Order: sequence, then C-alpha cells, then structure tokens
Amino acid sequence: MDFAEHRHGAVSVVKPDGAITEVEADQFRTHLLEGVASSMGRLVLDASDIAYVDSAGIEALLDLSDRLAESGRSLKLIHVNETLREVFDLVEVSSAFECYDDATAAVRSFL
Amino acid sequence: MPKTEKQRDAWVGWCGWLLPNVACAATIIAMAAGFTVWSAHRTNQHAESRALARLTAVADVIRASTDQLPAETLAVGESADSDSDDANPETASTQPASGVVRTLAEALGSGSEPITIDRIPQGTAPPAFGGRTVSLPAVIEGAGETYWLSTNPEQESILSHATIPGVAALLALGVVAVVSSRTVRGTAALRRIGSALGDMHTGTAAPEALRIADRFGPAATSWNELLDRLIADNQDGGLAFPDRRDGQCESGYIMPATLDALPTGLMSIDDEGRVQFCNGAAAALLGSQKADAIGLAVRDIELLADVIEPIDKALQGGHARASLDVNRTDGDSQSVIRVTVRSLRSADEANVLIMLEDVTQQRMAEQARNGFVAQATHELRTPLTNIRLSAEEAIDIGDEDPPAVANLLNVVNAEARRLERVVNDMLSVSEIEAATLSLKLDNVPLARMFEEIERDYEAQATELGTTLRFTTPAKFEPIQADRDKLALAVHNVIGNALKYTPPGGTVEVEAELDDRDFRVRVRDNGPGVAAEDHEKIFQKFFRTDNARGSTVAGSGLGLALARDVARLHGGDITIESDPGHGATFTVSVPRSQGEPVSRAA
Repeated sequence: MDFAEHRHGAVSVVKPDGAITEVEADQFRTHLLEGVASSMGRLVLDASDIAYVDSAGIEALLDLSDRLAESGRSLKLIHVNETLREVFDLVEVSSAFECYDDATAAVRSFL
Repeated sequence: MPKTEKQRDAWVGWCGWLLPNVACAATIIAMAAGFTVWSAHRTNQHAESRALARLTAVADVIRASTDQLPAETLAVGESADSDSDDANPETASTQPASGVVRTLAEALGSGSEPITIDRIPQGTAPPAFGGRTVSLPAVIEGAGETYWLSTNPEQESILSHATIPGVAALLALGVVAVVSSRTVRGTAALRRIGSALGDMHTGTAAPEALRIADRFGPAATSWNELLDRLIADNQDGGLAFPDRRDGQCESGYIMPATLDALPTGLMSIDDEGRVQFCNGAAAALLGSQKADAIGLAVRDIELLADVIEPIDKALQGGHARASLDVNRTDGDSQSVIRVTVRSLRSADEANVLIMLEDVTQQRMAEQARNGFVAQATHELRTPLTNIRLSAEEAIDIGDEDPPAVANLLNVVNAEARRLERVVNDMLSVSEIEAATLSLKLDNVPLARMFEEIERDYEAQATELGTTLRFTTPAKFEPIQADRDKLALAVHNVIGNALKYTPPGGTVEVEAELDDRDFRVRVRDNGPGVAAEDHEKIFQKFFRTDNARGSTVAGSGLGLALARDVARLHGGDITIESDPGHGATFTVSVPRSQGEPVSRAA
C-alpha cells in the first residue's frame, strides 16, 4: 500500500492508494500512527481512493481515532464515498470520525 | 459543617455506642429472668405432684382403716350430721379433727404443709377433684357410703401470672433496642457519606477531612477505604480534587477524562517543579505518554526551556503570567506551540498551570494572509504605476508624436488588462474560499480563445525579450467548458511561465485536442521547480524560495486557481521539471462534461 502525502499549511493530508483490508490494515495503522506523531495530530485522511474497508480496516481507523482522541483531537476524513459512509453507518462508527467534503474544509477545521 | 449538625452527629455517635450496650444488658437480664421463672415453675409443679401423692396416701390409709376406726370417732361425725341435716362440709370437717384420723393425718403429713381430713356426710356429692383435694369414697358400717376428703391448703405461686408477659415484653424491648441501634448507626453512616460527597463535589473540605469515624459501621469503613484510594490516586496525578476554598475552581470536580477531551494541553506543576498532572493533549505536545510525563522535572522539558523563569517565579509564590510561542521541529514538520504560564495559588501550596496550544496552522494561515496582502498590494501597484506613468507621458507628448502616444496607450491598455486579471484572480480566490466557485458550461471556441491569448501576451513577451511560440491544431473544434474560467487558467499558466523565464528565453505553448481531452502544454526554460515543491506550488499563497528571492511579482494565486479550475472541469494540472532547465505545465480538461453540471469547488 502506498501513501501520497502532501501538506496544506501545517496540516498533512495522507491519501492511501486503495481499500483498507486485513492485508493492509497493519501497514495502514503503522503508517498513519507515525503520521499522527510527526504532525502532532494535524492529519487529514483523504479517502478518495479507499473504495471500501473491511472489519480490520474499520478497526485500524478506530485505533487511529482513539489515538487522536487521547489528545482531544479526532480523525478527519475527506472525500468519503457512499460505500464507506454506508459501512460506517451500518457498524455505527460514523460518530468516531469527522467527515469533510474537501481538504480545504478539513484544513480550515484546524484553525 | 454547622455546629448543630456536629452536635447531632456526636449525639448519634454516642447513641450508637450506648444503645447496643443497653440492648445487650437488657437481653441478658431478660434471659436470666426467663430462666428463673421457668425453674420456679418446674419446682412448683414438682411440689404440687408431691403434695398430691401425700394426700392420696393419707386418703388411702383412712379409707382402708375406716372399719378399724373407733366408733366414737365416726359417731362424732354422725352425731354432728344428725344434729343438722343441712350441715355443710365445713362444719363437718371439724368433727374428725380429734382422734386417730387427725393423728394419722398429722403423721403422714409431717411435711411443712398441714393436711386437713374431712368426712363428707352421707348423701352429699363429693366435691370435684382439683387443687390439693383428694376425695375417696368409703363405706362405713352403719354410716353408709361416705367420702374422705383430704385437703391441703392451696399455696400462692411465687410468681404471678403477669410475670410471663412481662418477661416477653422485656425480651422484645431488648431485640428492638438492638435492631434500632443498628439502623441508627447505618443511617448515620449514610448521612455522613452523603454530606462528605457533597463536600467533595463543592470542594469545601480537604479530602482528608472527608473521613468518617469507623464506629458508624461497615459502610463507614468501606467509605474510608474508598477515600484512601482516591487520595492515593490523586497523589499519582490520576484525579483532580477541586479546591474551592479560595474560589479557584468554579466547575467543581473535573474528571481527568474531561480534561483529556480538550485539544488544549494542560499541565500542573507542583512546588518541587515537577509535573503533577498532565492531560492527553499536553502529553502529545510534549511528545510523550501521559504516564511518562507525570513526575518529570519541569527543567528537563525542552519545550518549556524559554518559560522557566516565569515558572520559577510562580513557584516561589510570585504572580506570573507569561505567554510565548515556541517553535518545535520534529523531523521535517515544524510546529508552533503557544505556552501559557499561570500561577495557581491555593491555601497550602503554590503551583503552576501550564497551557499548551498547537497554533501552527493559525500561524501559517496568518503568514499566508500577510504575504497575500503584501503581494496583492504589489501586484496592484505595479500596473497602476505603469498606467499612470504612461498616461502622464502621453499627455506631455500631446499631438507632437502620434506613434509614441499610440505606443504608450498600448502599454496603458495592456497594464489595465493585467490589473483586471489580478482583480479577477482575487475574486475567484474568494469564491473558491467561500465554496461558491461554479462552472457555467458553454461551447468554448478554442481557436478564438487562443487568438486572444496570443494577442494579450505578444507585447509582454516582446518587452521581456522572450520568444513566445504558439502551436495550435489547424482545425480546432469547440469544447464544452466554462469559457472565462478556462481562459483564466490558461492565462495564469502562460503568465507564470513568462514571469519566470529569463530574458532571451523561450516559452512554448502547445494546444492539442484528442477524442477525450483538451490539453495545453506550456514549456519554459526558467529556473524550474525542485521536486519537493511540485505539490506546493499549487497551494494558494505558496511561492518557492527562488520566486521569493527574485524580484518577480506574484500573488501566489495563479497556479492554485488554474488547478482549481482544471479540477472543477474534471481534469487536472501537472508539472514536469528539471531544476535549472525549465518546467512543463500541462493543463488537461475533458472535451465534454458528460452532463450539464454546476459543480461547487
């Protein structure tokens, strides 16, 4: 799994290049947790290329959300497609994430 | 706590001690009394049966020896009987009192109790059996059927019948006393716990003062154990007991979880200069774990190195208020953390509250805004100055040199257009920022658009000494797009290339149209863009170090706008660059937009 990463001001926007499933979940978690540490929590996850997630993927996302919540932050997602939204709703984890339409809106939430 | 309540508690405590003791004593007395009654009753019964046996024996002997009794003995009775027919047994009873019967009776009943022997006269029914009376029928010659009645006077029982209910009542009293004393103790403990919880909530009492005397029972003991654990946790920094005695804590008892939910880092420093409490955000900003941060010496925390002085001052009891932005570098990411120091003065110790806020994004946004204002002012002033100077010159020349005036007017025209573009850029940016930038789709005649662009830049290129070459297909079909926005994007990319190309350089603009996309490739031979800046140059207000160092004016908006426009059309803009040898920007948009849309940025 590859991660495209770019910065909007002080916020780093990370974009994984595919679905998060059991195979990639650990790598995803490790990479994103490193990102959280190095950006001091100023992190946005661009879900444009995440077509779907399985249970391991949701677990990884929730771990990430928990880690951010420890310091009063939350996981911000952008470009979340309909499938992902439905999955989040079905397993009732929508409230664990903040979803924004695009990077600008997500970055502005750090102001 | 009010005095009356204290007195009441003292009273309750005293009662709690007295009642069980009284209850125990009452129970013991009641049990002793009960045993006495029972044993007296048994003794009574025993004496009763013995007396009856004696009476029976006396009566038997008398009956057996009736015929041997001296005739006069009986005669006395009979004569008495005959004297008065209606003589009652009482009268008769005195008759055989003398003589053998009396002697016998006295001999047999030699116990403490006297026995009376009566002869019931003939024809009288024997009295019913009962008490201490034994009646035996006997036939006396000449006297007919008769009864011997042997009576022992009834003795009063040593305990009256009222004693047994009395003992029962005493027992019941004892039980009630025991039960009520336990209830009083229990409710007193609950009331004390309730009042201690209230004090804990409002912070009006020190945790140590919330203890309850153990004599209030197991609930009090449990409460005290719980309190000890809370106090121990508090010393580990796990809990915050409020202290409102000096009005510092208005919100009362704050759970650590509440503080962890704050994005602002909070730390309290104790009088020894060590971290006493720290929430999740503070730990994250310090780059450590919460558990590790607690107990750290404030001097060892790098982030706080610049605020050590006010912290020391506050720890020594002085008032300190300091706020400082600290730069922190963590690998390749830069952060700005605002550190605020406040002294917290409570009755028993001086400590310091430190707040940590991550203001990196705010600082960056401020910088960008300030940069934008500076750039925009410059961008607006340059064409304005040119217009003013050219106009003044044209006025000075007057009618003397019409070609020169025409030239100057051309400059005025070009500069006015440049000004217009700058203003349009700014308006578009504000539209994008407000998320109201949308596409007005139309058929765009590309051939005409490029003619206009060529004309716009001809003068500028000549002035800069740059060769500007356009390559367009011979047959250019119209495409479906937003005409003004697309022109703006292409303008910005070409303008950008011209700006950064040194005099004598070349800018090539190549437009092509295939089945799917329309593409414009702009190649310059300027300084190029370093690979790490490829993404950044499309950000608003970003200017490369090269650009900033040079005298080239720019708002930092052109490429950002071009990308927004391309993306709104469903296309994109890309860059290929060899630093030092120029760069190639490619804007591509689809030929048609599929459906008529009005997309928001």
